[in-house]
Amino acid sequence: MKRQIPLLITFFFGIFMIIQYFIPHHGVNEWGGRFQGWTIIVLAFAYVLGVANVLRISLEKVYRKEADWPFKLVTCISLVLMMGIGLVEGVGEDTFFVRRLYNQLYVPMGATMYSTLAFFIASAAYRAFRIRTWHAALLAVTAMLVMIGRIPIGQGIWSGFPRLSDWIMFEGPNMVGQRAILIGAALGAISTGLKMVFGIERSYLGSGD
Amino acid sequence: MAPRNFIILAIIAAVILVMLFTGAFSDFQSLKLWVGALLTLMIFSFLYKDNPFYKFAEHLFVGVSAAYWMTKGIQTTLWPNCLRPVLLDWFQGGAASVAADHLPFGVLPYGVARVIPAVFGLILLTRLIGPIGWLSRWAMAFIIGYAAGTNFTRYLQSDFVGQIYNTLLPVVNGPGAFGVFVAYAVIAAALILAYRFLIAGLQRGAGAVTTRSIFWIATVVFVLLFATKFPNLTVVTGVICGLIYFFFSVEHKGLFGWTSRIGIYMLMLAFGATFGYTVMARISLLIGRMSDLGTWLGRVF
Amino acid sequence: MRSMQFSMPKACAALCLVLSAFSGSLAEPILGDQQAAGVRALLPPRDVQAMDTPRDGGLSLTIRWQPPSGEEAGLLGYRIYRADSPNWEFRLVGQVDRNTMEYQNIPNDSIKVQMGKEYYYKVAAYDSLGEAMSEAVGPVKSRPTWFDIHRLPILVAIVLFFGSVLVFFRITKRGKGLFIRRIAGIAAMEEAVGRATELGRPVLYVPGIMDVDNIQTIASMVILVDVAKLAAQYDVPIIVPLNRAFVVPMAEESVRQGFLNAGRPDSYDPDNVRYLSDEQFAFTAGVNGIMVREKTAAHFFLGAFFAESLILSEMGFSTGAIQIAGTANIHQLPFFVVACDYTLIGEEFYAATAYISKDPQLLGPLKGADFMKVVIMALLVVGSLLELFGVHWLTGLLTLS
Repeated sequence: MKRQIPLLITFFFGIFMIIQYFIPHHGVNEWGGRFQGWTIIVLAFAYVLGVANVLRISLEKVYRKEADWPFKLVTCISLVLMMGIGLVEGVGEDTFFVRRLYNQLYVPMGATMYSTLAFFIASAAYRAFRIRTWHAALLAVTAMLVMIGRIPIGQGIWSGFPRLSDWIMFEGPNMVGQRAILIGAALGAISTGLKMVFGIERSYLGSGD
Repeated sequence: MAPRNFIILAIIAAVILVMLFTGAFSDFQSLKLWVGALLTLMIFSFLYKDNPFYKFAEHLFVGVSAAYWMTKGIQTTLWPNCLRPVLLDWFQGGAASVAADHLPFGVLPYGVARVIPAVFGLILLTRLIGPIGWLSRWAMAFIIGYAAGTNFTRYLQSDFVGQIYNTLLPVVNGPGAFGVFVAYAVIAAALILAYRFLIAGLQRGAGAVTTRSIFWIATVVFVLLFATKFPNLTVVTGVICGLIYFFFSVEHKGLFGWTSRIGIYMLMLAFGATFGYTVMARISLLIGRMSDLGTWLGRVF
Repeated sequence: MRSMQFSMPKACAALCLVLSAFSGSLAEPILGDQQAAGVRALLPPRDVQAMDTPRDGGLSLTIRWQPPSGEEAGLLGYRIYRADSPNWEFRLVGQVDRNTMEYQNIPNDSIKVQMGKEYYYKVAAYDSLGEAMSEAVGPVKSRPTWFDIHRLPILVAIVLFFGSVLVFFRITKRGKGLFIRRIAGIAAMEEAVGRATELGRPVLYVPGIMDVDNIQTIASMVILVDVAKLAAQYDVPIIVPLNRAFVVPMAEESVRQGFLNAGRPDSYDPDNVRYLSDEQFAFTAGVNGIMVREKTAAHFFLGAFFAESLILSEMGFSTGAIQIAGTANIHQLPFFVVACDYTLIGEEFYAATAYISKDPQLLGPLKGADFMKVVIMALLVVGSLLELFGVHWLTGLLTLS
């Protein structure tokens, strides 16, 4: 029963959503839309589990004075304070929650992490251009052609570079490769979906204890 | 106190002093600039190596962002879409409000339908209560069933039928191209035969290297000309070879292996193109962040 | 009396004559003005038809018409009116420009359509001076469609796929083994966990950054069971940082099940399944911290990734860990290919669980997918040849709208 009921639930909702795709009837579509709304709400409830997980693990480390425990305290304090302010005040654009906390802390740190991509891509490019195999050679040469074609100096060297770069990106090998991957991935995705809906794959539900 | 901790405290004190002298606390804009710049530098310090400043910024970021998303989830999703309507229906409106109208096919009143996601949500939260934590699988099963069913048809439509439709192309454009195609086919056959009977059996030596190099250069030029002359044929052939690469039921040997190799080469070309394209985009992000740091430096000095 | 009886009809006739002359004369100045300006009086639209909108949910009606005969230089557009009966007052439903010859009365309109109820429509051509109304058409009522025939190719694909899966199920049930070629990345998973054991350092498993409604996350949770089982067998900790709160209970179940399958349920440590943040780069910062401080020796990046894939894979490379990645996100694959020891591309990632477990039931869908690839290749060859000869039958069949 502990396993059968979840499998039945998965089957019912999975089959309904598959069948709903073929039926334009407004009643069926309204039910499908309602299920979509339910998933958004249930996913929102899961935030409680996430925050409970963060607090439990962080506070345990603080209690046991494990390595870096002061920083775990920073996490706990910042989480509780920010959540408290947000729940009391609201999340409107003109609240302290957004104007100070979100804009001053969250945004600069997120933007900085995003910008570190430039440093990491330099090291990735260095490794990509160490050509040791045919595969690496193809990857490196194509990357170089695309990059040269997208900068003014490339056009200065040869006027055909931008056209070649566009052909590689939008008409040639890039499109071909992506299409093959998409079709294969789609087959993989639908077979995974099939396994889930029909309960062939059920290990994620646990052993039923 | 350990020397390292002393150094860290000294640095923090120095920063606060500099902020005081440069008037960082005088108005909100200055403070905002300082806080943003300091956090930026703390994150960037990780590029050198892990250090307490980065640890502080990382843990602060994790705490702030987790709180932000949970608060937003409650304020913008849970409360207006679930909890408030349920409370209004059941406690303010009463039974008449709950049973007022029915969903299509008359299966459920709207009032009851609004409670069901709250029930699933509460069942999910039983995860926190040890003995009845197994109930949370029911909520997981609902989400997984919905996701599996929705993705099933979505992938079939856009990534399966859609991609096949876009690949159905006339392999040769126009009757005049047939003659050119035959010429290219003859050259291709000649190259294959040359490799089979001449190049493959060449012994080592300077002459062999030169011959091989000339052969491969000629092959690459031929392939590029062919691909640009017959783009549709290249697309169809390339996709078929790519699909053969993803074939799991047959060992990749012989002719099958050769076509599979062409497939992986196509994939590598695609990866290279994406890689090169992304490099340009990422550099522009760094320029943006450096610009903000430059503004801060300008205010400090 | 006789003279009065005789004179009444004449008087009426005379009155009618006067009235028609008067109305003619009333009209005449307008016509005369318009004629003087060279513009004809507006005519109503022709051939107005009202019908149930095909392949819809049953709450929509479609009205079509032809433009008025002759050239209507002053025509501004068309107004559509509706009533429940031809004798009742018609209400305005919508308005379109002069180039549009069709209107759909849809659920989003302020005047909605009730399923199964009869309606009458009129279409009026209008200009700056007034309207020219057509005759009422109807009754018309909306009916829902129970099957969208344009989606038949999808249904055929599903039937083919299901059928092939069932056939392969039967073959495996008869005890006949099914061959799968070796996939280097999947075969290396055990090697990676073994290396972590040798170094005495934990394994890191990152299941992507999307929520459980993404099929890649679900597939990653399934693979996590097998990787957790390997970690349990080799007695090495497995750390699972998570980006989405709903994945927390699923990951906990998967890791616990893996340890249970290995016969080591007591070794399961729930503190190793850690929710970090929903924010993409806060999560990335947290995972970087885990890699560096807990010195993980084997990294598994299996799931849906976006821009953070570069940071994670590069950071992992710099720590010297063995890395296996797998995703169906095409734009992130190059970064994994460059930085990781093994990369599972697209379908290889989804095939991992069947490959690792060798469960006959899981092999069925994998073989079914291969069968579908054969069908696709045949379709591409046949379809391209048909297109070459100008036969568009197959492309027409695959058009879903």
